[in-house]
Amino acid sequence: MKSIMKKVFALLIVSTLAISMLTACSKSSKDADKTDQKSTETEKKNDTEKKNDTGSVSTKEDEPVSIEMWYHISPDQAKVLLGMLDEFMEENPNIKVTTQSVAFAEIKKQLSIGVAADKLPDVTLCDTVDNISFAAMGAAVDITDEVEAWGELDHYFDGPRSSALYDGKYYGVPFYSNCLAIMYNKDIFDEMGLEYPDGSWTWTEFADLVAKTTTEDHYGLTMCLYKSEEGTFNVLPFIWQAGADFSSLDSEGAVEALTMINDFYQKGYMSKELVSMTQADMCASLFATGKSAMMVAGSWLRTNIKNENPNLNYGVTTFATYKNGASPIGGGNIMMMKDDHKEASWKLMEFLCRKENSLKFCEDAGYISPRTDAVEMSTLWATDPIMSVYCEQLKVAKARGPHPKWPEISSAIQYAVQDTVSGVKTPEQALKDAAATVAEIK
Amino acid sequence: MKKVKRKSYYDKRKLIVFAFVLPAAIYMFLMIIIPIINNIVMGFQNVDLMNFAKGEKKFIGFDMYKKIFQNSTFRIALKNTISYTFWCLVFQFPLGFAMALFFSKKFKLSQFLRGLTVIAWVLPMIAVAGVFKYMFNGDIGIINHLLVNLKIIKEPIKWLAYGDSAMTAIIIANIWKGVPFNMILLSAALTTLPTDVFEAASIDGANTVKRFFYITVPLLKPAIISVLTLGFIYTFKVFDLSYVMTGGGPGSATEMLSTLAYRYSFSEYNFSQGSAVANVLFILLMVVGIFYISLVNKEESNN
Repeated sequence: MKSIMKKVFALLIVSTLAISMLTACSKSSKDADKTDQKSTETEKKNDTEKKNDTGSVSTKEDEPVSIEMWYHISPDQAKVLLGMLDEFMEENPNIKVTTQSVAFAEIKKQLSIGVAADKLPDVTLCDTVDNISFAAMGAAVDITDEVEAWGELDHYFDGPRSSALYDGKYYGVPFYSNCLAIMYNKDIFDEMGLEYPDGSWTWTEFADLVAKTTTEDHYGLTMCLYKSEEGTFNVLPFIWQAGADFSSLDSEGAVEALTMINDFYQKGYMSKELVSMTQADMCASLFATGKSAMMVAGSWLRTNIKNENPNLNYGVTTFATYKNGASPIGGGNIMMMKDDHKEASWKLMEFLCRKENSLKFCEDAGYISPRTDAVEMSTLWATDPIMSVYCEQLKVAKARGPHPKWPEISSAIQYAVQDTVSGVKTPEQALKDAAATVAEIK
Repeated sequence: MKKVKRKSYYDKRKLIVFAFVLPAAIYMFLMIIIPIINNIVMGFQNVDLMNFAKGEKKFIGFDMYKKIFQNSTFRIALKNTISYTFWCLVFQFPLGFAMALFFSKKFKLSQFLRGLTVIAWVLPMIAVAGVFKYMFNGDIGIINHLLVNLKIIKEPIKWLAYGDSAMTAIIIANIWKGVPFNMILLSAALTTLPTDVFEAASIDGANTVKRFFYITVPLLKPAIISVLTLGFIYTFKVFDLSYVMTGGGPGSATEMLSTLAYRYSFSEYNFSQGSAVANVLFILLMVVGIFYISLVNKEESNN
C-alpha cells in the first residue's frame, strides 16, 4: 500500500512538473487542432481538384481556392460578417472562405502562435493597435501595391489609416473604428439638478462634475484602470489632452493627467474595484446599474448596457478639452497573413472594405466606419444622438503609437497607473520609471 | 533448448510491456518534452517581435537571464511567488492535516462530509478565481458584507485595490482550494497506519498528544513530505488565480513568475524573455522534484 502511494505521488509530481510548462503545452495542442482542420480542408480541395481534372481543362485563375479567415468579434457582430462572406462566395464561386472564431482576448496570442507554428489563416481581423506589431514581426503581408491600385485609402480617416502603415508600407486595411467619449446617466444629472455636460467643457468643469456627482449612492466617474491594453486605452486620452504622449511620459502634462485620475480614485469619486475590472465588467456592474454618473466608454458598450439594463437613460458627450481635444482610436483592421492565395485574399479584403459593406457592418455592429465617404452616406451616424457624438469625437481621435513595440510601451503605462493608484508610487515617480522603460525600447 | 525458449518468452513479454508504454511515451515526448526543450533553447536566444517570423535567431548565452534578474518586476514576481507559496502552505497543511484527523474518526456522515469537502479541489481553478473575485469585491462582495455585519471591521476593505490585501485575497482563495487536497492525501495515508502500535502505546499509558507526536507523525513522515512537496509545486506554479482575480496587479503586487512569463511572451512579444522566466520557474520546481525523489529513494532503501 505504502509503495503504491509513493508511486502515485511520484506520478503526480511528474505530471505537475510537465503541466507547469503551460505556455509550451497549449501551443502544441492548438497546433494539433489546426492540423486536423487543415487536413479536412485540403481533402475537400483535392476533391474539387479531381473533379476539375476529369472535366474540361481549367486555367489557373479559375482554379477553386479555399481561404481561411479568423475573426475576434462577438457572435452577434459576426452574423453580419458571415452573411457578407456568403455574398462574397456567390460573387466569386471559385473562392471558398472558411472561418474560425477566436476569443477577443486570445487573437493576439493565437496569431503569434500561428506565426511560430507556420499555421496562419490567409486573412484575419486584429485589433488596430496590433497591426504594425505583426507588420514588424514579418507576419503580415505587405499589400501596398494592391492598396495603391485600389486607390480607396484616400477615403479613410487619418487615424485609422495610420494604424496600418509601417515604414511607409501598408500591412492592413482598417475595417471598423471606434473611439472613447464620456457617457453620462441622465437620471442622475436630472435628480441632482445639474445640466448635462456638452462638448464645450474644460478639464476644470469636468473635474468639478466628477466631484459633485459623487454621493452615497453612486460614484462620479468610471473608467478602466485594468492592467491590460484596456487600461492604457482609457488613461491615454487624458495624457494626450494634457499635451503629452508615450514618448514624454515624464513631462508635466502626463503628470497632471495621472494626478487628476489618482485624485478621483483616492477621493472615492471612482470605485476602487476599477483596477481589477475590464471595460465590460465596469460597464455592467457600475454604469449600467446606475452606480456611476459618468463613464469613459466606447460606442460598443451600448450593447452591454442594453443587455444589462435596457431602461438606462443615458447620453454621451465628447471628452473635456485641456490643451488638446483627444480620444484614442480603437477598432479592427484586416490583415493578410499568407501570400499563398494573394489574389483571392485581396479580393476578399477589398470586398469587405467596400463603402457599402463597411457601412453595413459598422452600423450593425455598433462601430463607426473608418471610411469618411461611408460616414457621410449614413443617416444613423448623422442623426443618432449617441453615434453622432462618437463621429464628432472620431475627428480628433488618434491611433495609439503607432509603434511596433506598442505592447511594451503600453505595459509600462499600465504599471505606472496601477502603482500610482495602489499607493506604491507617486504619479511623478511612477511616470519617471515608465518613461525610463519606454526610453529603453528601441 | 529450454533456456532459449524461456528467453524468447521474456523478450516477448518485454515487447508487450513496451507496446503498452509506447503510446503514452510518444505523447509525452511530443506534447511535453519537445516543448520543454524548445523553451529551454529559446531562453538562450534573442527571439522577440522583430525576428520571430524571420528566423534569424541568435544565441546570446545567459544574457536573457542577466536581463530578467536585473529587472525589478521579475525580482518582485519571484519574491511574490515565494511568499505566496510559503503562506499558502503554512495554512493549508495544518488545516488539511487537522481535517484528515477529524474525518478519520468514524462518526456518522464522516465519509460523506469528507467527500463533500473534496468538491473544492475538483473545481477548475478558473471558476474558483472568478467566484472569489466577486466575493472579495470591495463594493458588493459577500466577504465584506459578512465582516461588516459581524462587526469585525467597520469599513469595507478594498481587497483587490491594494497590494497586500490583494495578495491576502489570492492566498485565502488558494488555501480554500488546497486544504481538501492536503486532507485527502493525508487521510489515505492515515488509513494505512497499523492499529496495533496505537493499542500498545495506549496500554503503555501514552496520551493522545504523545501518540500523535511520537507515533502518528513519524509513521506519516513519507506521506507528509510528499504532500508538502506536491503542495509546493501546485502552489508555486499558480497562474489562473492571479491572472483572473487581479491580472497580476495592482501594479506588480500579485505578479507571479507564471503570469509574468505569459505577459512577456503573449502581450509584449518578448518570447525569449518569457521563456527565460518560465525556465527559472521550471528549474526551481525541478529542484524540489529531485529533492523529493531522492528522499523517496532513501526511504525505500532504508526499508
